[in-house]
Amino acid sequence: MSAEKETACDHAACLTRRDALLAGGGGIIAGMVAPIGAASAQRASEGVAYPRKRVVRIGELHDGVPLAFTYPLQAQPNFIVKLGAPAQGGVGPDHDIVAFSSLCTHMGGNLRGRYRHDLKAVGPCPFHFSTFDLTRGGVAVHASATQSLPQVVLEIAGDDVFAVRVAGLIYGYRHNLKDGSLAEGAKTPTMRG
Amino acid sequence: MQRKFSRRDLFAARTPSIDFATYEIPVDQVPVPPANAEVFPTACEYCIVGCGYKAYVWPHDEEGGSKAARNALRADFPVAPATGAWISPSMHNVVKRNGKLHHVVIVPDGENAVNRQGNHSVRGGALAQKLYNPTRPTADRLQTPLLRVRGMLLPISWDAATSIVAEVSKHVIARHGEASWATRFFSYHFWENTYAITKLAFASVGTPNAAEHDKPTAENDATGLDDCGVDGFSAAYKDWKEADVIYISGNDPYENQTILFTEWIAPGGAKIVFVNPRKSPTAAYAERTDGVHLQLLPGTDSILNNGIARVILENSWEDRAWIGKVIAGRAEIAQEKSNWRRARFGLSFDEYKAWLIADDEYRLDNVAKVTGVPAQKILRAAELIARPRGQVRPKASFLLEKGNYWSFNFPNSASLSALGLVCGAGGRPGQVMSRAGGHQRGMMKAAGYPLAKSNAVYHDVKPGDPSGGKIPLNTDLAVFEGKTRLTWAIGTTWVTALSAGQSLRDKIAALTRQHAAQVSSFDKDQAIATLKQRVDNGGMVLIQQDIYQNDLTEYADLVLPAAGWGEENFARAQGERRLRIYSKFYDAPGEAKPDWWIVAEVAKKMGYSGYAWKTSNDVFEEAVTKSKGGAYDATAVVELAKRTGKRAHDLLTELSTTGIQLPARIEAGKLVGTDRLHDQTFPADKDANKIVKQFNTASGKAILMKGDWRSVKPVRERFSPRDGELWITNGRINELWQTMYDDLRKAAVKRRYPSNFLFINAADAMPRGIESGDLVSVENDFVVNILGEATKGAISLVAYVTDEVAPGVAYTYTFYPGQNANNVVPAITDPVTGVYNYKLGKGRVAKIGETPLKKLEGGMSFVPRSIG
Ligand code: SF4
Ligand code: FES
Repeated sequence: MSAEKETACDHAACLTRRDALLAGGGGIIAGMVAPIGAASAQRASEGVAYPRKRVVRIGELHDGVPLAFTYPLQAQPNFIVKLGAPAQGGVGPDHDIVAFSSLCTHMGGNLRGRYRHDLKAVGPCPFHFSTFDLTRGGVAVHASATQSLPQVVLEIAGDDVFAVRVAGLIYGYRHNLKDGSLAEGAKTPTMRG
Repeated sequence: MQRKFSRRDLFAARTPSIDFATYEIPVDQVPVPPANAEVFPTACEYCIVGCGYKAYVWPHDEEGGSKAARNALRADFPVAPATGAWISPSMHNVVKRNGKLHHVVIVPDGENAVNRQGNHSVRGGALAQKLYNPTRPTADRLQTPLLRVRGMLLPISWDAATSIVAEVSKHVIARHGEASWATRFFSYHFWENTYAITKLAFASVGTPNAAEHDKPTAENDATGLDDCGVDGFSAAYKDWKEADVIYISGNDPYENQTILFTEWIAPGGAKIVFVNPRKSPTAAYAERTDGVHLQLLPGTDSILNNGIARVILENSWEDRAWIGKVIAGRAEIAQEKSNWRRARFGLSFDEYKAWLIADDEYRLDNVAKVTGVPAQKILRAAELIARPRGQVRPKASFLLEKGNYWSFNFPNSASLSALGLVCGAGGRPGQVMSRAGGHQRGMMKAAGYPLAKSNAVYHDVKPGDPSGGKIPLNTDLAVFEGKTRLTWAIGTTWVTALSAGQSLRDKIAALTRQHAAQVSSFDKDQAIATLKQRVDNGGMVLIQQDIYQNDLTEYADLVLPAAGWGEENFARAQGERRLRIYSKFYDAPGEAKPDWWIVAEVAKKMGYSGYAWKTSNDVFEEAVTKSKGGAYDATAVVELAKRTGKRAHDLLTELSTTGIQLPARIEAGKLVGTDRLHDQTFPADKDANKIVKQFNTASGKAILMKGDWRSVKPVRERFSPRDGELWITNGRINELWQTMYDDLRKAAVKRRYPSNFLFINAADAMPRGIESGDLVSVENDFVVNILGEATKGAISLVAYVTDEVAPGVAYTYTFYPGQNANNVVPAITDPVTGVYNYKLGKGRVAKIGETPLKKLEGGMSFVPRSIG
């Protein structure tokens, strides 16, 4: 992530304010872009009901500029970025919008400010240098981490990008939805089957 | 821009899903051990660093809570960063304990002295994935002895299996002599097992036809370091933190000794002089932190080390006071009556200096030309490790591993140790020399190698050379020459590990599977008679003992299932000689038995006495008697246990994940360990083993060993790439451990490296039309085998285009099953020690197709690994 941008605006706060304005916009409406390969029936987390949260408008995303948001719990930081190249799980017209946890799956190092747009990767982690490939599901390129970076599953509805689930356990947690309160703007789903 | 959407898109979007590259569904929860979970101290199965872990085991239908009081980790969830209390999904499994289903989580222990705060690597962090669980990829663990009957490996009883091994062994020894009975065995898998194996091989049978898992001969590893008088694991980890500069030769500590790097090297802030043909992750770190990467061509270490030493001597930057105090002169070298290499290659300081200055090979411009390292980088390295800042010398330490001593074993390691000594390193805080290490120190020999029985001598032996210039015999050569009639391979793949692998496979196949005498009945006597026929008619019987089938299994007559880590109580030491317990915490699969038990059963049936052990503790207590006086002296542990009425294993369990650094002694009723060996700061009035206070030589002084590039030059020239070939060098990589016996069964590792790879520079890839993800072939028509015959070797690999390697030098993982680097590595033995120079492969590289991995969905990442 670009450090300048990050300090200029606390994106988590910016986004949640906007989220609040758009609360209730979580329904499935026409105009969704399916992620690559979305026909697969695999589910990241059987039996866990993830909330749905509007993260950002597509138009607010610029190539290579990550924005921060919390999801599914308020204390779980993530970033969303338009990679400019297709990615596994990428949404949007170019299949290149992805979101990941900002906490390194090794020992929770903060990956904020560590996005490398030239490589479409995040790292090295400030603690022990783990690096994750964002085009390939957050797989650890070179790491002390034993797990991929948890990927936030995204959906597009109209001009909005929604977070709908997290694939992988977020650092520090025993369960992605336990031991904390829901992120601002995160709604329990009503239309998910 | 919006595009038009079909109904299909709408439907797809209702079931959002990440197109996972593997069939693994990411887990988003883990069970937490309840407060009353059983807790077992252990240490990592894998690398030399030996991080401490705890196994928490509890009944499958219970779970702990999120508050510290309600879980055995004593942690509040969510846990804070860098606390070591988080359970990653890789740390959990389900096992049987005493026949009942249990959860187990194996979590790095934040309270031990090695990996504080629970730091761990990608390897150790997934230890739980190695455990036997028939619903998971570990389902194929060996569970029962197997005999090859009519070509198939089929289950038999332990009694039949051990009887066959014993009877055929007795016959081989009686009829063909003890040197025709061979064993190749792991040197790492715990003292109890290696003790039992060496007791049988060396004390009972007395064979010289034996070698450790990674070598053709029972020779040492970093011979030039041992010969200078410095033990391979002399340093304390804290020394790396105290150093101002660390010269790292042929090793990447982030990749291979991760916690040594992330806990003990990086936090100390030492500048790194990184000597490696690869711009690997630690190279990027070295350059980023004001050190220097010397990206030398393969096999040129000795000229580089000597060239740097010459710069130091020309500038009088050597540590004169130290040299005067600790370096052996002629009179001391003359005391070396049992080590011919010291007698032959030991130099006084004046001789060393005169040699380097007189030989024009070591002029800076020539060194730069031969190694491919720019002269100013060589100068910078010399300055960093030796140039005094005012009155103060930099504290320089030296770390080496197989990239050094497996590409010209003796000259590379000798030149490195001499360079270290003139810079003042060896047995002082922050000024040490050590191997970085591969596996942990699991060898406790019951008896010495019978060198007198070896038929091998140094090629240039001279009258009066101590021990007649004898070297341990080459066990591969003994096979090729038809001398070996039985090989018992314990915890080693052999054909994957040794050089000229395909030629070796051909030979082993001819002696075993393709031999006329094949077992065709379960009748024990018939089977024994057939195998005796085999050995009496030029063939060989192969017994494999392991935890999984592997590349060697297709040649085996008998397969014996071993119980390993977590399945028996064991002990061994790690890279700073720290001895720990490796607790048994779950049930071994099927009828798998610990190696010591299997060896003892066979030994008893062969008629030998001294194998009546009941438990692994019995073996341990006996083994420790052999450690007396050495670097791994643990006699004080057993002594203190006896005094307090305990079993030694139980005392070790009390010492938990911190253990004790050997040699240990008892002071005021307490165990006291040893930080570093050859410790020049050790109080003179204190009683301790000689190796603690002095260098490991006859005189106690360190010896400058002559590691001569001129002995390397013609050999290297002969095996260098030509006509468009590339160097195909090989080594380890962070995620992969040894022969990948566990990694093959760890989903995350298979996802990262679904295939062996060839790191290739764009300058070599482009003209060959190669892109990342392409399938490439590597072929070498000059894979000289141990008989000196030129054979052909080939492998196919997935291309990974990266500037991690320089033009002309490609790199692959050494031991990827089925894609073995050793196929294209000739059996070049080091001229002095007879150890193979495994790193010097070469070959023609061509694109032969594309792999599915090239596509996004394929899931293999080709992002550069060395992000600066
Ligand atoms: S650094 Fe070595 S000992 Fe430590 S966890 Fe990793 S593999 Fe195990
Ligand atoms: S916390 Fe990121 S590498 Fe350790």
